[in-house]
Amino acid sequence: MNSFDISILSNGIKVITRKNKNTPRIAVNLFIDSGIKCETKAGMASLAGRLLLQGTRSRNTEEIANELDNNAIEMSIDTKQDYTKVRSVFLNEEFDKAVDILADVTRNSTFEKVEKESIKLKGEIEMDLDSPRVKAFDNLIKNIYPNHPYGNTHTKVLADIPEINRDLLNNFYFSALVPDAMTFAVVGDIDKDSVISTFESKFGNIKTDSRKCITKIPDIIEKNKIVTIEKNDAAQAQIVKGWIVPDMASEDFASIAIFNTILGSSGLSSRLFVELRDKKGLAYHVRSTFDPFKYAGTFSVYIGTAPVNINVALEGFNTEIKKLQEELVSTKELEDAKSNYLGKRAFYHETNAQQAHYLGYYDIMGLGADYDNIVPEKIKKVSENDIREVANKYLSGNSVISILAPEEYLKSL
Amino acid sequence: MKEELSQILEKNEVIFPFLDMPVEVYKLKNGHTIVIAQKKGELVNVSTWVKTGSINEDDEITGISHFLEHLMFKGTPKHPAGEFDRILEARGAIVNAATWKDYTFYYVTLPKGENDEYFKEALDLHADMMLNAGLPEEEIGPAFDFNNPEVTEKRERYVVIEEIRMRDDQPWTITYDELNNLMYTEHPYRRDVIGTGDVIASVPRTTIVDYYKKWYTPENMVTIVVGEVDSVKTLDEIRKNFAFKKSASLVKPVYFPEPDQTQPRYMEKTGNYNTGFLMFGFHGPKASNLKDSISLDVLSIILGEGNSSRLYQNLIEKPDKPVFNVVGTTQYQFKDGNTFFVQANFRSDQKDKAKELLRNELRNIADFPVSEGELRKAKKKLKSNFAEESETVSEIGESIGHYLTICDNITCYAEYLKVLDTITVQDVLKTAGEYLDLNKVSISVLLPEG
Repeated sequence: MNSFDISILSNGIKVITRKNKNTPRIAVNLFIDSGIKCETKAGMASLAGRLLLQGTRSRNTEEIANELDNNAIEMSIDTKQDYTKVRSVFLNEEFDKAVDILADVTRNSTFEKVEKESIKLKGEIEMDLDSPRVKAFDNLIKNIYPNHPYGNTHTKVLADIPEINRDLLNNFYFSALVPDAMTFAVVGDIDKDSVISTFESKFGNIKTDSRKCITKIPDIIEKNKIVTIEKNDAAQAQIVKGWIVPDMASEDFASIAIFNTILGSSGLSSRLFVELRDKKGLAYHVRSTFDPFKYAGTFSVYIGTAPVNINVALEGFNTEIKKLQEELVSTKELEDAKSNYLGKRAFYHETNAQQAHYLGYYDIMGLGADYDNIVPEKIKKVSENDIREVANKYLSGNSVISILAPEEYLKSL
Repeated sequence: MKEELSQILEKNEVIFPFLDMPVEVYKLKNGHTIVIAQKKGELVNVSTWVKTGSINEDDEITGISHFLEHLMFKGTPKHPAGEFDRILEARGAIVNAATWKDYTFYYVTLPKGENDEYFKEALDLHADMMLNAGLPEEEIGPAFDFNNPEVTEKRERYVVIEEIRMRDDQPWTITYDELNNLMYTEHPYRRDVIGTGDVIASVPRTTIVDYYKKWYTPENMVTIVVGEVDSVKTLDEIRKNFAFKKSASLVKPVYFPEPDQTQPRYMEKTGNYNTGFLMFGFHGPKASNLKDSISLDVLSIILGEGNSSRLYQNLIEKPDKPVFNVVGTTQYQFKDGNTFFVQANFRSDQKDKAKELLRNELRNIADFPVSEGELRKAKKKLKSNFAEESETVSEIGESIGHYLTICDNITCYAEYLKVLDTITVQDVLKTAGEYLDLNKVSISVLLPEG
């Protein structure tokens, strides 16, 4: 991968650039240090993000949509726990046009269509919640983080939406649009100097102001909990168990990442896949996931299986985790897991859009764009002992189990 | 005894949009097609596309193509079950496969490694899997009565049955499967690719082995490598690794053509949902009819792809209280005839209004013909899609494989943008009139109970 440059606009906004010659599309990402963690009502970050494409002082909704689509400019807003990302990808020849629209929507949005956008968002959430898996994860996350914005899931958004208004959103968004909370990442066949001169004229006069996002570390899970949703026509039970684990900057980050690879995220050869799917035929989907955030992380194991298998599946999770808590992994399995993790990084860094994501992401998470290069070094240092240690340290504590299934199968829990 | 390398009968070089170098297409004497595409970077994608899928199934063996796809990962005489996944995933590979109506394909994407070490290993293992799958009984699991809940020996049969169960909980999948079933009366496309639990629980190993031998022949396979590789060496490696034993020549199957649909068809199902799901389906041109196929791609963008599309603007963005939560269009390309879909999610009490609004939008194509501006937009978007596909080795491999199997001819992909340039608003209007006929629509609706 090519190296990157970091430039600072006159008002302090950071712009990370990487030139990849002979690539047809440029990716420009703006990361804003905001997102769900700053919400005082569930859904604010998502609604504010959506409203960026719903009208500015000079363009209405339809004009924005037409201008983007007529020029094949992809522009979308991702709202995550710790940031809001305005993502854009376009053919090289559209750079000026794309940046012009990007500047307009991020700086001049009017947030007028709150009511309409709330109706749309509610409708999309209701549709999403028709997926049993989405429902089970929703119930997990809001019960892991009952008193923290990280737990602002779909169902919480539905409850809070009526209380969100234009003033609230306007303040929420513009209080975070300050230079020290903004990072651009630009990757493609374009010179740094062209990027910087364009960005200076479009974003260099954003005024420095104080931010108003109050963040806190999530509480620990007080006691083991099983939360259930009855769905009598469900063909499969959705079972997901989650723990709070350390954040992205933790010294245990790499060990947890490799523990996750070994347990259930390497693909077809992870322990959960081999034991619960290949050998026991319990499921098509079974896996573990590590989601590190800025102030905590979530670790979860998931399976979709016939309702009659609920207890066998939960025992299967416990058995595989217990093995990793009690027995050291072999050096071969450890080294294979590291190679798997590092090899896949190439796959996740193949396009300009992916590279622009990681450069900006690590920076906005407070770790610096260069962290993308530091991760492999940390991964290489993980030892057999580290795996056992993180398994004991973090997966022995309290957890939340979320199960969706027909009523008769939930009675015995 | 080692087989002799199959001779190269034909070599073609084809220019692809957004790729620096021509793509090389080789046809070997044994019928095997090999494609090598250059793409700079450390990743390489290796895939083999077998021209079989649910199209070659009947009611007795429905789902066998997909079941076989699972079983192909269960080892060979050289490599026991699980070894393929373990070795390659330890190199950072993404390993998987997929089955569709016209094809089944297997792929590995991974870093090439020093001196192409991982690439060579992947090619060797991939070829071994494709040619020498053992399909062991103990991995398939004993046959059982699907209606008996007391099954103890749960192996790969059960994994697929769990996949079927999973799909039974997905409202979009149900809506699509019902629509698909409604659209065909004769053609094998009417069967669901995943098959039925009854067949998966009971199909004997011998039937699976026979199916494997019948369809996994050199003339029915395309092997594709995409990456920064030495073409000459790669071609030799593929020929060496894919040393097919003599197999019976494949008899080209003949499929009953689907009779023309003469009137609308409709089906409705209910379930425990919050919202309503709806799909309109139309029969389209054959994938090899490039001009009509591209015209429908253009129409799909204008009608239902992106926030500026007619359906999104008219049905979601402009009304104060929209009936729809989601609306869009898409074309699926198939060898024996594409399908064009309008799919929508709507507020549960608005079924009739939802159907009428969609019908109106389709009628409006005639009353408010596609404008030059809309056509320009669609062309730009399609060009940009090609640029996007050229960014990853996996996407390039998938596009080549897809077009070579559904079109039998790589020019369907290579010539796409040239043909696109020639499309006029009249072409789009004509295509809409020909294929999006509301007298020939099939409609599938999934509604909340009560």
